[in-house]
Amino acid sequence: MTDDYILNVDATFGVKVKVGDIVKKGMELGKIPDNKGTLLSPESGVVSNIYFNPQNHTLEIKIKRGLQY
Amino acid sequence: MFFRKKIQISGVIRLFFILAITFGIVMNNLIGAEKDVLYPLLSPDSQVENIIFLIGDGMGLSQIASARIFTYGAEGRLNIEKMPVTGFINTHSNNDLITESGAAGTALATGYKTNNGMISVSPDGKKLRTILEACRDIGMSSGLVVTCAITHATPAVFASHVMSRNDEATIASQLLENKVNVMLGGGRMFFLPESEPGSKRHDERNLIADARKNGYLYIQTKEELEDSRGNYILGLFQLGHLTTIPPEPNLAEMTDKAIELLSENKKGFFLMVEGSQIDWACHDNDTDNTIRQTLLFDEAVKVALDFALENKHTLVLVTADHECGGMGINGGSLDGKELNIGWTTKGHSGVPVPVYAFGPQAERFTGLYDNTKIPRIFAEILGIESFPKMGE
Repeated sequence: MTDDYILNVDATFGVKVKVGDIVKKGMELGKIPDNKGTLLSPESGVVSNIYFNPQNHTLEIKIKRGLQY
Repeated sequence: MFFRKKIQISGVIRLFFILAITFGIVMNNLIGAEKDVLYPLLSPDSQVENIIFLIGDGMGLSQIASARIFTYGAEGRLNIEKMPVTGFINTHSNNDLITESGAAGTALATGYKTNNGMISVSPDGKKLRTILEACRDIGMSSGLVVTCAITHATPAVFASHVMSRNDEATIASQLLENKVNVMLGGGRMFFLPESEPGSKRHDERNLIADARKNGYLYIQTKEELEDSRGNYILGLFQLGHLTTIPPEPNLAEMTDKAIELLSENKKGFFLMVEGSQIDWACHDNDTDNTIRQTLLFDEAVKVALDFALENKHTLVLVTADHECGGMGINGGSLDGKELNIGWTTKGHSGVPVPVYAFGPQAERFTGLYDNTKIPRIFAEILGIESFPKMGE
């Protein structure tokens, strides 16, 4: 698979990665909305985009997967 | 004799220099005043009849300064910066150093801290009376004007009480039940029944129909806003958030109309105006849009200040709920043609945010204090008893 997937973190606290970063499975990305703990990346990949979603006040992290890191 | 004469001459020269310097300072101030007219301190003895509370979501000092430098150069001034009284507030929430708009807004609206994500309820779920509700209870009119959905966190904290800011369908119904006189912004999706296209409700309630039944004039366009009259106006100009692009009414136009409508009440009014999208631009670390949104907000501040300057009984307070982006000005040119902006986060930061005040009692907002103090001072100024107040 070489598709992208998107993860949401609470925008209040920002993100732990930036566009272009290599993400490894289990790496901390940010906080889950509604005070539900820390979001860990479920897979490895590269961060291809990060943008703000005002509707639910989250930062959406787009990760390109399918490469072995 | 010669020595004495020399002293006399040097005394005359000294006097001449003192007069020249004094004249220079006075002239410089006059010229400066012409260039950057400041809003003056008003008599603290004047009674406050109206409060206009303007909140720049995510707006810290760097957001204001960068908008000023870019637009007017380093020595210019935004309208916000022409206000005569300044202070700072701490913004932390009950459960975190970094707040969000629900908890920060709750502090600004109720005088109590709560946990992140909550809307005018205590951490254990007790309802917290808001300053808008307290003003309404003594006969004042009330208004909320925003560039986001009217159900978003900052407007919500002034007239609704829910455990989560995401419960916008409930917030919409509570805003109407609370009989806020003027509500202008976006968010039609939370007022339409589930079966309507674009609705985000999970029931068949049609809150627009309910609003009309309860005496609201419902409007959707800038032209309808211009023509609107009456005690209850619900203006929802987009299904979701506003675009801040014409043909929508802009924040200054909505503020102007809200003041016109609310000032009909001789018992006074409380109006909250939010520049909602400064925060959003900062979350994206988008400098151009941060400056644009701050300038749009600053135009609304000007509308409020000009009304207050003429009215003499209106307190105008400008602040932010928190800073966003950890924005810094790392260099640039004095004329603002170059600006080197740095961002430390895509989230909120924990730095204090500025407060600017104009009108009677403005001087009460100087110094560094907690954000919960602001609505408490409002209540004191208006003679409202039992505020802050925690309910069941």
